[in-house]
Amino acid sequence: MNRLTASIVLLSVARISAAGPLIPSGGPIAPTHKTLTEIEPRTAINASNTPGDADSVFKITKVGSYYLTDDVMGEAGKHGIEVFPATFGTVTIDLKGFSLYGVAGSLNGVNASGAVNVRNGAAQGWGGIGVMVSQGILENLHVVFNGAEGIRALWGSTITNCVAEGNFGDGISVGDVTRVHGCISKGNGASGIHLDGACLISECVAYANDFNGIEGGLSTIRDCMLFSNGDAAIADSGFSIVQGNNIHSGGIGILAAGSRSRIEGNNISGCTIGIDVTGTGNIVIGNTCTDNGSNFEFPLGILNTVGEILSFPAGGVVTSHNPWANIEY
Amino acid sequence: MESRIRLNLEVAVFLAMIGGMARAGDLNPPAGPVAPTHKTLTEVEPRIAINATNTPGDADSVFRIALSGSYYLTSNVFGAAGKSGIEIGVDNVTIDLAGFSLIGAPGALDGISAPGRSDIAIRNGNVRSWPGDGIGLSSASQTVVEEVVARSNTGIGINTFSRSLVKDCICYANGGAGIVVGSVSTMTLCLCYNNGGPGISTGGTSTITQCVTRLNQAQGILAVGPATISGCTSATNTTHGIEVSSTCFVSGNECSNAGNGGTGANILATGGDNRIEGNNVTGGDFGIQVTGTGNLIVRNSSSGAGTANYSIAASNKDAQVLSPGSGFVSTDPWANFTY
Repeated sequence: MNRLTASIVLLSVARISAAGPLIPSGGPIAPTHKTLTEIEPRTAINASNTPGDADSVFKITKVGSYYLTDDVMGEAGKHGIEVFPATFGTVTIDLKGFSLYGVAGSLNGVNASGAVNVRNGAAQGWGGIGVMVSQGILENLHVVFNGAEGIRALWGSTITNCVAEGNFGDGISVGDVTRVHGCISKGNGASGIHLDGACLISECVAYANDFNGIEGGLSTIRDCMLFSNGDAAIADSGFSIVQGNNIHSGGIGILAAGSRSRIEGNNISGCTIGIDVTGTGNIVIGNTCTDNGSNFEFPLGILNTVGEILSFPAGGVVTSHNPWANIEY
Repeated sequence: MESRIRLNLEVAVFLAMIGGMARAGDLNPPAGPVAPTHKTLTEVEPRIAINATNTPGDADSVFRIALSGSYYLTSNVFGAAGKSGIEIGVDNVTIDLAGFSLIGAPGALDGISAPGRSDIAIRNGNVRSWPGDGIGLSSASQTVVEEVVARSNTGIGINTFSRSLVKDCICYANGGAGIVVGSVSTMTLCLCYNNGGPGISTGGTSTITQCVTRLNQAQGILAVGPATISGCTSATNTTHGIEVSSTCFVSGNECSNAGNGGTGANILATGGDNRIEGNNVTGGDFGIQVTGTGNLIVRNSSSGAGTANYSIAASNKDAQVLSPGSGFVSTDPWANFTY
């Protein structure tokens, strides 16, 4: 009996030691917990919350903030995530590091007809566009090997720290009033970055794209690195500032086919033509070119404002006092 | 019989203890004082959710923050007549909108307001369709607003006061200005278009860098006091691309087609002591127009203005304007160009 008593006492002690205090804290009784909804208030994208339809694996129909909990696998004839309609507000999607994987015959990875922000994830192998929005904030996206553009934003967007690689169309294609900063566009079947309107492009890299590295007009293109693009590293259609870019190899370095652009302080090497101005009324100053098939080409009889071109062979000494001179070296 | 029952009980207790030990972990406790190893949900999300329990509204707010701290949204916020969406009634508050939207209603006030407060930060969300301002911090100081999209508000998209930082924001289709910052403020990497007032307006002693303004119903960028405006694109605004009063440094901007539907200069300086350098301006009524005195205008390029590429009042220090054509030689490092 003594052994039985001791065992029961021991068990009781163990239970008591695991319990919390029996004396309630002072003040009125109130819950102290947080609900899981408060911990993660956003809506998970899944078959229950965002069921798809005939042309989408998942479909978001309400304004709000959403996130992925897993990779999304594409299906033929469907978008991965479709946002429609979103005319009443903005939808935010956090991919949370997950990927949207397309399959043959699939449509767009993200297809949004309204204002949508998309962050932190990847879209690859879609039959159409990797991420397509009308307007929004796109950042930290990796869009690769899609059947059309990697990213397409129709207008009014900011695109930051994105990588577009191996897409069949343009790597990044943007419309009016858009900023593209810190992005990489590599090995795409069309152009690296396509601009359609007043845009600001800075500190981007465009590498080995089949057509142009960056193409567009009415924009500022500054401090970019462009390497081995097929047609032109920068194809400017006019009304732009093209400044401080570093360009190497490939087709034409800078093609100025429009008018009223200021092309200044760029460095171009190893291209078929360094700076090729085919338009009129541009100003070309302070650029440097070396080892291009032809460093500078300007059509005869067409007026552009061009700083004198100074040639300094290897071992030469730069002695000019013309601060606007273009230099081949 | 009694001994048999006792034996069975002892065996049962022993087996229960053995079973419990088999499921248990190491019996040797780790060194140091006894302490829990779990995280509470409050440790996982220490911030305070904005809801009717934690931040109940009052007569003029749907939600009201009355204690300093870090807050976040857990759903969209819908406006009500006579109320702001979120009113901040205390200093030192951070709000993460968590990607959600504040959506106004007829007769409502501002999306977010913080009358007279300071040290306010608002991030990562959307405000639209408020009859007042989207972000109404016009009497709050030391504020941060970033990654906010403000659109279709009747007033100003993002309205801040002095000592503000506005970064990575998009403002469009607002009835007033897109973004207003007070003195001693910084704005960078913002887009403002199709607003009823200026795209960007600053009170002075501020920097505006790498922003894009377009199709606004007044100026693209307006600085009524000292400011640095650099690396911006301003196109097709109704009046001026960039308008400054005095003591501004305006450099490296691309401005085009000012006076779209009105009359305008791509860059207009109305006061003195401004340095206007290295900009490219095209189209519009005037390229660079200086009506004030005592300004320095150097190294700019201007083309295609309808009235004049340069219109500089007397008593300014403007470099010579060259129109030299192809292959030009000049030793003047400060020259302005028309082309």
